[in-house]
Amino acid sequence: MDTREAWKNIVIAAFLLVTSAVLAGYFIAPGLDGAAASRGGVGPTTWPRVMLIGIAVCAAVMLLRELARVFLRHQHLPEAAAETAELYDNRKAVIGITILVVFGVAIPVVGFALATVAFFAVWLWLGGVRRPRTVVLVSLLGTIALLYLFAGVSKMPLDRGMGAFDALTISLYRVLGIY
Amino acid sequence: MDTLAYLAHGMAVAFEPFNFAVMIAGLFIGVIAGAVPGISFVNAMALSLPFTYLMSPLVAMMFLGGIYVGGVFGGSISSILVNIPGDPDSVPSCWDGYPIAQRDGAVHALSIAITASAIGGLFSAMLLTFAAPPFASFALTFDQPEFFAATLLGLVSVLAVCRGNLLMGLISLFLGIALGSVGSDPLYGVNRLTFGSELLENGIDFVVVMIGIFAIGEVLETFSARDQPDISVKEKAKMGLLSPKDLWRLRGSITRGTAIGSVIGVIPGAGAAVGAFVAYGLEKQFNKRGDEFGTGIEDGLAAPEASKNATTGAAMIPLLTLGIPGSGGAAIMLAALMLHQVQPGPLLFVKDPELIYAIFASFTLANIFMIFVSMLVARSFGLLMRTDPIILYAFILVLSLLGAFAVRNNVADIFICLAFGIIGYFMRRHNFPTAPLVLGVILGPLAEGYFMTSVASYGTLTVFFTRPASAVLMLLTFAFVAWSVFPRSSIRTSAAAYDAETKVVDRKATVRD
Repeated sequence: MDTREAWKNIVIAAFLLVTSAVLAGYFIAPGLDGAAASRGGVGPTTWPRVMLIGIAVCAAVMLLRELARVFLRHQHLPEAAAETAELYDNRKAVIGITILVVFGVAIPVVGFALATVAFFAVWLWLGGVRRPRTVVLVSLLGTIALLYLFAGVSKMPLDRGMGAFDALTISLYRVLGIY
Repeated sequence: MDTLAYLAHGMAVAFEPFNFAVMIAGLFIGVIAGAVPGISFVNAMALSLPFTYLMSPLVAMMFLGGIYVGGVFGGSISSILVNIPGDPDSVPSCWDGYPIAQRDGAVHALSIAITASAIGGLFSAMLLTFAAPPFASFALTFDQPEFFAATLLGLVSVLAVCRGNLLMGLISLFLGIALGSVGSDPLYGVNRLTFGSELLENGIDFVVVMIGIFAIGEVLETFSARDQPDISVKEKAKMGLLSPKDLWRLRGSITRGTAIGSVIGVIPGAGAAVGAFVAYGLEKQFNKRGDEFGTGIEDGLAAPEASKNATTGAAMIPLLTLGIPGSGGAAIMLAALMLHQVQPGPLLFVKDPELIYAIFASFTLANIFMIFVSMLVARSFGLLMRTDPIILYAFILVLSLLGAFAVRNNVADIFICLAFGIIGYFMRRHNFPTAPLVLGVILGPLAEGYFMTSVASYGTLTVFFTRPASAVLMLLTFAFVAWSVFPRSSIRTSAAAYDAETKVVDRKATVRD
């Protein structure tokens, strides 16, 4: 029996149970008099409340089931759960998520163009592409192609960044003939 | 105008050069996305969704329909050539397709697959053309309670095939519906779950959720996979249609596969993967060489191939007549229609029959031209496999964030999309099915709207059980829930097989050169 997997599920179930219960109880529409706003017992908060209670009930059942698996040793976890953990490299997952989040945060700061060049380069390098020519060509040509398609053809107002980065992006657009 | 006249008009519209070119482009994207392990056609459809903003509703449907039809077949190319399914629905194609390719050559195996898929798909398109209008006429008698019951049926039916874990499927579904309820309520205009944020007052856009869960979540999962098998395809794989003699020999399995796929496709939430697994399982039972399946039996390849493409048109029947998607691909097509303020349902057949019949025509044409597009993709499959998937993932991620941004030209949507991408990744890692969440976000607001207006109009909750059509649909809903709870049924058994095999697909899916 993989107890670690069971504890992981317990944490997930407990989180879902507490979060959905708190949201259903206090945060659907704070300050609204639910009874006064309802008609026939059905008001604006009824639908989301029923769904959140549904999550809480399912999470409670899941929590009990997983606790039983941990403390009643005769119940075994399916093998798939243990196998799943072996299928993934957590280090790579953390790297992938971090690069993506940094890319998302960088877009409004340095602008889409520069953020994308940097994202491509870092992603390819950390993803195992070790030929500098490939990294540089894909990063630059890929970004230019996307800029032409979205900023040039589709006229999408892509973020240009703040301060000096805004000026830099505008210069880049002029060089590329987008502006 | 009768059905045939509308269909002829639809054909003429579909054959207009621009429309036709867009459909062919969609087919290419679909077949390639399906064929390349690690990129699913649903991923490609979700990614293409924001681009449909620039298209008319018809062109958008032709484009996405092309990706859908092409993508469902595309996975078979890698199944047969390298024994790695491009998509979960192509897993059964590995079992007999790869041994046939090893024994009789890839050309023969690919020819069986494309012929069976085209026949299944064409029959399904015909079924869509001739069965959807009468059903829509019947559905015209529906009022709000019936639409609520039908939408509820669509929501719960996804549980029947949610990878064998009902509890996690239910949590995913409730979570999706709760997320769909963020923002103003449909009747009173009261803000719910907004936490004072102006951005959330307009709700969470389902396109952003779909891109995050399907595209980013999938790429992150594939990127973090431990096994990175090498694949090299040296020879060019040609294929053609089967000879009449070979086709006659496989008539039984193709007919059975087509029939099974047509039925399963109509079941909301089922889709091509379940169709292929059920068809393979049943063919194994009915075929006199069933015991030899897995060693390269042609019927074992033909049946699931016919079945999975037969689900494509059938899945559009509940979508177009009731607004309930029959599969993940159909859910994205629903999203595309809603983006263009086109509400699918029986009224659409009255208000815009030209659009409806052009969609029917495009599905028929897509299944025919899929043959030629697949031939070209199969020939250049070796070249495709030489592209480093890390480069493909980089482009998918950037396009995903651009797609999310395009929804409202708002940077905040990029962060929402990223958040859902990470949520989608963790859901996959911890065996939470993602499809119920996405379906909940799409159908949840519709269900709530129908529910609230029904109660407001009729003044009682019993209205859902006192009107005959609504009562039947509610009964079906409860039957689906009961069916999901009881483990012994062909679809559930197939879903378990699907679940087990998907782990293999997930592990094998990331291909590094």
